[in-house]
Amino acid sequence: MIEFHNVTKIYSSNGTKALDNVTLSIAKGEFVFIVGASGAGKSTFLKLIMHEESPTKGSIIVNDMHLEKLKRRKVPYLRRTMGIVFQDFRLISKMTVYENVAFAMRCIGKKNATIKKRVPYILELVGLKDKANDHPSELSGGEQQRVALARALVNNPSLIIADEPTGNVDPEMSFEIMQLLSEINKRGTTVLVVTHEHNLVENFSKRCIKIDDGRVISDTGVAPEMVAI
Amino acid sequence: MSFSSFGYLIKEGFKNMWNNRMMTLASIGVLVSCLVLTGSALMLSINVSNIVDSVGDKNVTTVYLDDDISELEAVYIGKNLEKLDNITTATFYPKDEAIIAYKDVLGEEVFENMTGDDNPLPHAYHVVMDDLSKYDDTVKAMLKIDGVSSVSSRSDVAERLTSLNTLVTMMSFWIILALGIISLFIIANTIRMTMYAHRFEISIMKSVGATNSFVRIPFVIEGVVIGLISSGIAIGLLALLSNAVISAVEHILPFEYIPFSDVMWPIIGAFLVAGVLVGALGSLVSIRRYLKHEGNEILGW
Repeated sequence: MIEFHNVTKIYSSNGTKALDNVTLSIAKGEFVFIVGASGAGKSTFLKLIMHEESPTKGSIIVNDMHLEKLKRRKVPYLRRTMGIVFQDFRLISKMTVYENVAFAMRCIGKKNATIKKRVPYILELVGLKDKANDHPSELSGGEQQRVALARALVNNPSLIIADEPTGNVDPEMSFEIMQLLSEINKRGTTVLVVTHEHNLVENFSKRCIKIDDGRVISDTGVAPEMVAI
Repeated sequence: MSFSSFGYLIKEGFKNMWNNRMMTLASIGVLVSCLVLTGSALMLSINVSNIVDSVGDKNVTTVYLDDDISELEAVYIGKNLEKLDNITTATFYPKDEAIIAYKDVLGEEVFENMTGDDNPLPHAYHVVMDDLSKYDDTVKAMLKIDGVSSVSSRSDVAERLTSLNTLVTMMSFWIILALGIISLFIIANTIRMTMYAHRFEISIMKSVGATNSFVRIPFVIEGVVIGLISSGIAIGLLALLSNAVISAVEHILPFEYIPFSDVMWPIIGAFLVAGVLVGALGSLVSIRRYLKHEGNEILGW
């Protein structure tokens, strides 16, 4: 699913070494926490997976695509294999919940009939069917994050990347969102959660990769349930 | 791309225009001004060129033959005049006709005894030239023909008309070029403003896997629609303006002017093509920057 081989990333603009010779592998269907302090290299790690940045050295494979060989025009097709959830939700305020989720489908050219079937199903999955016609400003932080999650899920990606998904929600909601991600993972989707909240990592006994100063300093390895599979 | 996707993108293009309506209106206003000025320069150039041609046609040069030339010899000289490159017509003007013309103007008494063999005037030819810029060379060539005595030179008129035509053509060219570039910048600026307003959506579009062409289409549609609306308004205004100017000027300078309706279709075609091209190009120029950026860079974070 995701393979990093001796990946180093140095930003040419300021010479910062964000990742230093990172090698790791995340299998299909895993649930992985990426933890680390601010500036440790977590965001760069995600940007490299999404191909927003290219490595200075090393090679990356995501969903069977060798990113160093990936042509610019093929990048959108890589991104269609993943759903991204941001800390600040990034919902379009003038659109309703339904439209925000449908927007992700329209962007990849899905037909109206498919959208009309799929969006209510996904909204039901995240528990927001009744809020379909509300605008993001009418929702709580937790609900907004669930809309963001619905948008990430609607195109049926094989990988969900959540960048600090609980950063802007209260602890109770954080737990609910993590449970939702766990449910999605149980259905076969690989989930990658970047967080600095140790409580969450401790409550959900999943694989945890710790990054510090651009290096992987610890990796708990594949979680017990994955080994059982 | 499915039909419903394309329909959605067209709708988005119009929505962009409406959401950004003040800037859209300003762009249409400036673009209409540019197109009307361009069209006016074009109409002026067409009309001046036409006037120069018609004055040139009427600018008859008289070629006087030697005194002792007979009518038969004059016919031969006429053939030689017609053989010259720049001569459109050479019409024989016998001295008997000339004396009658003088009598009509100056009165019978003066020319009473100047008929037949006593007519002191020479035979002549009325010559019309094709290209007045070659006036001097043509006069020289005519003077070389045996039997040609003199030519009533109007080289100053020819020169002025030719230089006026060149000046108007050059001015029109530069006006059209300058206004074309200005229009391109205006459209690019409008689309840049729209894109800035939509940078959040663009970042989401890219993160969910929208292709560059999908991101581009609504903005190109917006540019093209602004271009088309501006062309339509400019065509209407130009028609009104040129008709008003012609009807005002023809009383002062009585020439035959070419009305807008005579050159309407090429101008409409050119305006629509220019509108679409400027709109599409302006959009593509401004969208390039956003399509190069990724993630938070689009948002400027």
